[in-house]
Amino acid sequence: MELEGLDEILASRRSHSVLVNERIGRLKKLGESVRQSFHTAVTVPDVNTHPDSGPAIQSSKTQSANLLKAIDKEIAHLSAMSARFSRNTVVLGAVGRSGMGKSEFLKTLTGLSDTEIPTGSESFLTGTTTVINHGEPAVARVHFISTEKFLSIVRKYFENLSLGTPPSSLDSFWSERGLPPLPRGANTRDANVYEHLKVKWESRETVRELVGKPPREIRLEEIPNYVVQPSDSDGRPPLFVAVEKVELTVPYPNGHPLISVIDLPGLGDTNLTDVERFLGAIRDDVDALVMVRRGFELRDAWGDTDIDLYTQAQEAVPEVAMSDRAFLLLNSVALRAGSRPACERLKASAESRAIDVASISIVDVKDQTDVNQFFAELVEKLPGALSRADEAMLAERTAALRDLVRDSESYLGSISSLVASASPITEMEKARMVRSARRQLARGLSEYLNELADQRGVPIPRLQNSFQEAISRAKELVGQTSEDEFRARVSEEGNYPNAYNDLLQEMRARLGANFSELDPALRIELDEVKRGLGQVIAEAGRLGSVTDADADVFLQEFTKTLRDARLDLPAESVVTDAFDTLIEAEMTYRGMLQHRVRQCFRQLDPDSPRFRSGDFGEDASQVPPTVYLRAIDATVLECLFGEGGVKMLLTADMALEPSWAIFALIEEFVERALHSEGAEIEWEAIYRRFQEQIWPEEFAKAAEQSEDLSRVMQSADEVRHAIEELQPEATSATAKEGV
Amino acid sequence: MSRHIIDTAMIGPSGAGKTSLLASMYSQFTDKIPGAELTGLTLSPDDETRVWLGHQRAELVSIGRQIMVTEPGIAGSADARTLSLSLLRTDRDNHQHLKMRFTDYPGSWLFPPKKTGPPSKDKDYLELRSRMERSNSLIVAIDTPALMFDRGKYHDEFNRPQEVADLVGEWAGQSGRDLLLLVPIKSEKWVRDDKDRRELVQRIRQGYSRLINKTAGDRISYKRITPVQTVGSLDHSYFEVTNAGAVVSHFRAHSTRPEYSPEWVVEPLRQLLLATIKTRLDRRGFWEKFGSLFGHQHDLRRAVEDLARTDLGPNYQLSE
Repeated sequence: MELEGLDEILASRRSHSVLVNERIGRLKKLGESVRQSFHTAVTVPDVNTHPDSGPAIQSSKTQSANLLKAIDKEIAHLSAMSARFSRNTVVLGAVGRSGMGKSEFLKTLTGLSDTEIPTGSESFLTGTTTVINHGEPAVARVHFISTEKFLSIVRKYFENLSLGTPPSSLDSFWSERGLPPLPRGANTRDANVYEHLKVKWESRETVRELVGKPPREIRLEEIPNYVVQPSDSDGRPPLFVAVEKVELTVPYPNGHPLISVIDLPGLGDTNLTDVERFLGAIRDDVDALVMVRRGFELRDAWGDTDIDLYTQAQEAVPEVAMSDRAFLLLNSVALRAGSRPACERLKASAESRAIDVASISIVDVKDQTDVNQFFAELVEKLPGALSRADEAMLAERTAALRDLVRDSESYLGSISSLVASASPITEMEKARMVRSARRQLARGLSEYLNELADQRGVPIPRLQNSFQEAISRAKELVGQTSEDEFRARVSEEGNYPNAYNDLLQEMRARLGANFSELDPALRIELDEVKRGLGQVIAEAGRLGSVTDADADVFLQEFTKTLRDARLDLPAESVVTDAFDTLIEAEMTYRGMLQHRVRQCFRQLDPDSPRFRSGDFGEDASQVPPTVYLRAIDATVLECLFGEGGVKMLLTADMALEPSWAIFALIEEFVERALHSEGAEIEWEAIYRRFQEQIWPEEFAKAAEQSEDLSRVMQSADEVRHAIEELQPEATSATAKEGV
Repeated sequence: MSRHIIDTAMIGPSGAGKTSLLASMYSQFTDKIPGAELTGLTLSPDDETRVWLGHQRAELVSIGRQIMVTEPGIAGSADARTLSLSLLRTDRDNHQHLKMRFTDYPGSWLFPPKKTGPPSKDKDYLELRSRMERSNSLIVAIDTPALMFDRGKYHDEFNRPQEVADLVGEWAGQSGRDLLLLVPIKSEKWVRDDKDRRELVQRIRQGYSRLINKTAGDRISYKRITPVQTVGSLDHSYFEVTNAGAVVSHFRAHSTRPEYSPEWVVEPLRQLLLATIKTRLDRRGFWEKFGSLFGHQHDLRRAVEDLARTDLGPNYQLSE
């Protein structure tokens, strides 16, 4: 049972791993092509000696540097992920504050002894990470911390404690001058943190030999020397300071071959090294967390340290929900009578503290049956949880890839600009092209505006249809209430007039509800007009090539592109402002329409109805229900279709006004975007920025005449190919397809 | 044109309520005339007319009790129907009477359905024109909801004021015309108070301005507007355009216990008598006064004069 589910997960991960590695390869190729193309672009004489290419070179430089950094970062992410997916086991990490019983739990689970998993006691605490795999022959390997990492940890202590300039080398840290003293006014916590740093400094003789050294095999009995954090009285050297992790392969007496375990150091609140290790291990090495928390006999409750630990674990892998990767184990110590009730209380209050995990179990970590039971439950949940977690991580990477592709395209744009700036087309000629395009844009927009002007005051068919549908739906309410239903209402309300008034009120509410959803038609209408405007800009204004966006989102994407393109438009750009206003513009009937429709239903108001309940006669019960029902139906129909009724309201004002409002909106846009002060200059800047996209043939032809520019364009083609290879993964609908 | 008979033509769109007006006029005559019982004045149809009017009245009574009604009134027939009634004064000694004849022309004669070309070329229209010749008085029935609803949205389509104006203009140009009466029917909703009524009359004057212009110079001196409530209990509610494109009127009761209760329906008859008496008095030589119309029926003549003296409903000049 255990094997099957886990086997499946591991097999599927291995297939992901192959694809992840392929993506790494493609990203490396992209990085290389970017580096190469930039180098070519800035070194060919036609570009770097051209008087106009300075700004374009600067822009390409910034973009290529940022892009390369992002590619490297993504490769690092993918490599960690590939390592995760290549593992032959599922790794359980035990986390918790010091002394909660993590190591004890792992021992009971695997059947290993104190030698392989040294348990912290009054004088021993786990000082570093131990990774334990099932396998034969037994072998232990210790990995030492790198010099950079050691110095980076020391730097953290210096910054945290305000100790001045951090040491730049191991020698300067371990100089004979000793540590700088703790500044005055330091609190107890600072003093504790300082103690940890002091241990690092004082252990220099032994530790110095180990930092930055390659991994080393050790005997099993030696493990505690590297793992345990000795107490002051112990006298043993604190080797753990130099250790990154200990990797141990050993046959588990209790089986579970597909499970590896990580014993993470207990988290005190003053050891900065621990936090670093903890987060790093959770992110890269652990598949599922077992969060161990002991129940204390006296007044135990969730404290800030518990919540901090949970939050840190959560933030280590933010894209995966804790409920898909964390299991809470409440350790009820059998020897302590109050421990179990304390665990029960913790379990009951977990939800109220927003602790959301895959399961919460109360387990005595020394009890084999308890631990087996816990493990069985965990293994049952693991396949589902891991598959969801993997999915989430893959989705995150696909999203990151999408950003990379977009940035790469933008970089290509900068190279094109560079080529254009150095193009043999004369400045005079470019200015002429831009001016002509801008004029065509202005003509297109004013023609579009004229079309809309002709539509003013003409009812909009889409709105009329949607009104008609709403009215038809409302009309269906007539004749819906049966005599039996009315009688039932009478017995509920006590008498006829009350039942009648009640039904009137209900009808009014139901009719009103029918007219609350008229906005979609209005929204679609406005979207259509915006879309039409986008088309004018794309076609008449020749700006369609600036973005690949669909017509539906053209305006948004176009505006975004203008912004991303760093056009050096003024901070208060009139053009982008005009676009923003238009894009954000929405039209709604809400409120106004509701208010006016409700006025049409005055005759259904029980306070002033068309037919008063009192008018049915002195003995209301003698009047047949059908008379009441007919009276209500007659009222409803008149409210809908009569003079001053809903139909007249909607077909007169409500269907006509939007065409005026839409016209006004577009008129304002055209006014602002074309005729504001500075608009003309901004448009010229826009056309110049995208000139090679707008007039690709003209520019390509001109560039072909220059050997240098041809070389730049060829190197840009390499980047384009690399992007194209990544494109299918970046645009795939699901994360799994993506990888 | 007979001197001994009051001959009246009734025109108006199909469904305007011409037949209902006659049925209600007949049914309400005795109830609504003050002192009718004392004077012994009654309206007596001939046998055929009596049966038919009785039937129509029963239908109106039934309609008058409904809360919701679609297109009330009596389905218009394709043929012209002539109703003969006598105004009787009965006492122990003698039976004095004045003959009246109403011809109810189907709306379709004036507004030929599905026929192209101007109505003046249509057979029915020509027939109508020639038969109207003999009538001294003319009642033009107006579909009031069509005139009033949604600023007269359906007025032109239903009431055809242009065609009516042409026809009436021709008729009024002849000699011997006693009365032109415009009767807004189904007007219950728009005559609740004096202000409403004046508004209605104003709208009629606007909606029939061509008719008013066309008849302005004619010798016919009695031109009036008399609103009537042929059912009394029903208010117009709304128009509905059916899927087939027909425009249908919907009515609803004015109160929760509706009863057939027509109002002012005898006023058009009073106007007829008044105009006839006055115009014929003016027109004939002194010795002939009354002679040919009433002969020696002096009691009847006095009773009719009494009747004509008292308003039986609001009435207005056709033009201001």
